[in-house]
Amino acid sequence: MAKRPRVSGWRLGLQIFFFALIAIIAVGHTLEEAGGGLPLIAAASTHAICPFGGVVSIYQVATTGTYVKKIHESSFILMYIVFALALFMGPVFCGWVCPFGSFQEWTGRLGRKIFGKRYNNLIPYKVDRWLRYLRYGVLALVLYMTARTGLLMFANVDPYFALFNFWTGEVAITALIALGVVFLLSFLVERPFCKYACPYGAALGLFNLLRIFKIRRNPETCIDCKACDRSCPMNIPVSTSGVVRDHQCITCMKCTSEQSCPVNHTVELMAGGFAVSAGAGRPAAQGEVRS
Amino acid sequence: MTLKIRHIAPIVLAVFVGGIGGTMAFNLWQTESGKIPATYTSGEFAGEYDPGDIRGSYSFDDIRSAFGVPVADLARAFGVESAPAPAAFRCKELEDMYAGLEEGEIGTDSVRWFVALYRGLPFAPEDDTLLPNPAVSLLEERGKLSGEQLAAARERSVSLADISPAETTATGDDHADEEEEEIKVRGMTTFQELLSWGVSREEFEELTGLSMGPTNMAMRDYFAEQGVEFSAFKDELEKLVLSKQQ
Repeated sequence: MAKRPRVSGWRLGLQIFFFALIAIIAVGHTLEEAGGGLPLIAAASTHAICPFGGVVSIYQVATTGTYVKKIHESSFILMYIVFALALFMGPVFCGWVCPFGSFQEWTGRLGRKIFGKRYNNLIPYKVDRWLRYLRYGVLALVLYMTARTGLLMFANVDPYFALFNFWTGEVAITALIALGVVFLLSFLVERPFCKYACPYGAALGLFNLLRIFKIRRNPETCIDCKACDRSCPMNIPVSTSGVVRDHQCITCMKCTSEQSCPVNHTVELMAGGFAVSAGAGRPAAQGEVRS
Repeated sequence: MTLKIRHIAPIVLAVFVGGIGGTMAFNLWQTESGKIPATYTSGEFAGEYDPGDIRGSYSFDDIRSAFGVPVADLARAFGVESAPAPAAFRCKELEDMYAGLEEGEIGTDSVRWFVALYRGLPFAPEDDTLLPNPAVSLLEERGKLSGEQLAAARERSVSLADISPAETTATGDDHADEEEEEIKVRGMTTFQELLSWGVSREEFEELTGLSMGPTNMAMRDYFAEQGVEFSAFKDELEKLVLSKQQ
């Protein structure tokens, strides 16, 4: 069986691009506040370019026609863009774009080196699967508090905001603590904030029920090696699913026949079902280039 | 139909670039507030911009644009003439610049007060709001103040020569702050504080004709949202709170 690349260059490239972009914009905003600024870089605040700001503002916009403080039209536009992508191919924002998801993922690579096979497998699945719903509680609480106060309450505990603003003096100590906790947990668990606490991931996760392009496994060609299960950063049991509808899927593509699955055309991101085709079910030959 | 890894990155980029670029083309992409203050909704000044809605993020140039107060006058009034770009100076920077004043604060509310006096508009500053001496002198020179206003402004003015961040942090009168904390209704007072001082929702509604806002919301923001000037009810609310404390 052919060895697949463990890391997709396309995905890593996009993650680095968005991480760098947000970091540069955040620094540019700080410099702009100090009377300077970076040429060609918009000096927007981190809040203004966060699509979750749009989600938490929905209630206020609907009831009063005004935005929650520090939220602007840009957050709403980004919210629509990310929702459109999620409807098309799931929470691709989480797996390919979100800089805080990337931060956790990259930190986790060190954790994997330290803890080996125990990394990302410390919590028993039966317990863990229920803990994954905690983020819906966080989402409900954040929406309620924001609607009640008209303020960005989540910013006080938001580790993403803390990561890109820790030098500004505007970050609450609770957010810095949250950032530290997530950083440390990332050595043990892959994407701990995404899994257990991210309210935006919770909202986008619902699109896994509706998305047009879904991760599908072909049971006729599957050789039940469970490579897909082992590769999934979100611990989804892909090998027992015909179609992955798990609310935690982030469309990272690690489970697919392009990366982990050793059998051609067996785990794919597709609309519609599998058609029988020549080569289906044939293990990939050594060095074979897949299209 | 199958999507491959190599398809996803271009699709994601295209949707982001297309979405943001498209909305920019239609002038819908806004990453900051329009710096247009709220207007008075009733009374003699209905329709005019309300200095009470000046935010900390407003630059002196934003204020010039909305209220017609020259940047040079603002810079002189607040002692920032030597700043590299006075037009870009933001009101909230005053708080750091004059941090440590024991008598009160020079900050965004000082700018609101100055602009209101300059333009002859109604505004009630916070109890601890101060004005720098040059601001009062400038208003006096331009004949912007009545006798009563001048007396009030002088009473709460501070000489800039006496202020430096290093020397205003301690004055030796360390026991002054240990006096019993006085309860005062300010713009930043939240409804939660009001409730904790014994004012019921019904009493608030009876006094203002408005139902109470979210508990964590500052009253100035709430009144502004409702199109009502906070200062119109400030004194009455304070009286109500004091009656509860007795």
